[in-house]
Amino acid sequence: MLLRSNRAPVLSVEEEFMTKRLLVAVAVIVFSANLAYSAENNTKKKAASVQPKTDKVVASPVPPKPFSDNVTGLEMVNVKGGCYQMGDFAGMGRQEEKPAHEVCVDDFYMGKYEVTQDQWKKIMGSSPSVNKNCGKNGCPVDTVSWNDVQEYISRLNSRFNEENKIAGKYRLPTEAEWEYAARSGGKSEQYSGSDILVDVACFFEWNGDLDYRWSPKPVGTKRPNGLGIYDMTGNVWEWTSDWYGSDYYAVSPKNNPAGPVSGDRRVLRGGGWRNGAFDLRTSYRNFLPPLYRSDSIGFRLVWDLSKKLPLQDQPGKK
Amino acid sequence: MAKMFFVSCAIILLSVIQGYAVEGNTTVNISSAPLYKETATGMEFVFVKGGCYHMGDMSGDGTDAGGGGDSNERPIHEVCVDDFYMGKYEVTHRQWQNIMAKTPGEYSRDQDCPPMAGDSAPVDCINWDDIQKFIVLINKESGGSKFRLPTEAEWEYAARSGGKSERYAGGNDVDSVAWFNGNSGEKPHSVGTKLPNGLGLYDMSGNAWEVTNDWYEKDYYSKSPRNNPAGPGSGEERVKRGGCVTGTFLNQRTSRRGTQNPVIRGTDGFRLLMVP
Repeated sequence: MLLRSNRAPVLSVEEEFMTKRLLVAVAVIVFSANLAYSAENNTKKKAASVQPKTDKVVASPVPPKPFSDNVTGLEMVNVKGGCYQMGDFAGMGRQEEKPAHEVCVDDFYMGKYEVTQDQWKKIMGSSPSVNKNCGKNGCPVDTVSWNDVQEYISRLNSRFNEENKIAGKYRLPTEAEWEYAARSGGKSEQYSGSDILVDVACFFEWNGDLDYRWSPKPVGTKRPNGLGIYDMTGNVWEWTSDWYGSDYYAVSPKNNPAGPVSGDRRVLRGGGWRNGAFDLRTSYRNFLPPLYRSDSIGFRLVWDLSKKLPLQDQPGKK
Repeated sequence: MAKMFFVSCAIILLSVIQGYAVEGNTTVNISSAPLYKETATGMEFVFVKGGCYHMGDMSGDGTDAGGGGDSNERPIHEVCVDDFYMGKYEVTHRQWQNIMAKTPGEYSRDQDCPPMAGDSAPVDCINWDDIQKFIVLINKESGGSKFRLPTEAEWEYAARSGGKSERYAGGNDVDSVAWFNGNSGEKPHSVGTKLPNGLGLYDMSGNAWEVTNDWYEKDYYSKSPRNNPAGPGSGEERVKRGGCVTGTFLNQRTSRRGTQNPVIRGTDGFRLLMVP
């Protein structure tokens, strides 16, 4: 409460300098890394005024051009929005993955990797992870609850604000964004990047040997998907921002669905290193209490490009 | 400018209030159904309201996408069960010994049995006849005949939180609800140490296989009666359910049917049902 009140003057200052900041800040943070995207974005805006957005064809996403966060080193790749058939596209899934239904998501930036233990430590001071000593690139952070992640995001955004004089816009992906990105921009991919599990995922392979021990792998060990994003299948489960509703797909809005307004469990996606093939499919939905922690649960972040938020509005324009 | 400031404050206040609402919602919803506590052993039973459900390999788990459904889980068929109380946990070593100690010499742990995993781990190294003796004793103790093994239909109805479509008992994440070969270290664990299912029942997926009252027949689902099916009249093996610590994630699925030789004392355990 105290923290939030203290931020109020900052907001009003921001408003005062908003026009200036729009140009400077966004250009520095996001679009310095990606001028091509900016140009394409403007072209698209013109097209959008002629054509209703819902008629957009699933476009092949622009080649990923990561930007790297100066606070944690998080790498983000741009995901060009579009429409796709969310859910059980292959007809092999469970009830709660049905019906497959058209969903459209706006542009966003998606974490190239799961958030690592080092990146967690940089913000929170220490890491709760059980899987330690995990190679030089670092393993994904684990044993973090949904609520823990909210605290991380809140602190990360504040730090980002301090360093860059621009509000951090990190948040968890929605279920719809997550699945769209995992399927390389809404393609029919059973696993993220391939239909062959072993190529793209660290997961549970039972070989009958009782002494065999499983563990997660450093992020980015396997092949990336079509957007250049790693480990969306396997390694650790990834929290999303949505409440879980088993029948939500039947009532979900088409544009930027964000899950039911309330619930008692949050959705997790992607499967973890303890899971098998069926549970690792891109459309499989896991759901757990927001306070639940385990050594096979972590997360990845998105950078919000929502047009509703003034700081991201129309970057590069004017 | 001042106006903007107040709007900002309002937004911040609202988001704080919303934040608290979220906090208040974080507990797992577990049914507040009546509990019954058996006095001799301290065994707890949860009331399960009867109903009808689609028993068997529901919701596409048995397709060829690695779901692991077996042909003995098909066809999916509607089954109705009456009200019952289901044991909240698998019967533990301690509970077993408390009852069996009342008839010295009747049961002693076999030399060939593996070392016990702890007092509150599920009892193992017992066979069908041993369990029947246990049931006679506990019924005598309570002065009735309310305790028995669940039927397969009752077991699956309870495991699936009252006949819902649940891949594992309590959800879609095997690791959070079950001790299985991916997290158990191949050893039994104390009962009640994973998340419960929607009825507040623990370990219905994982830890120890649980033997049911039914004889096993592969094709039974194609001829089972609709109301309170109790299995075929005879057979060679009993049905066991729920998977175990050495089994893969596929064995922890709520619809998986395993079989047990009624003579052998192995790693399987059981859970009791109480008739209202």
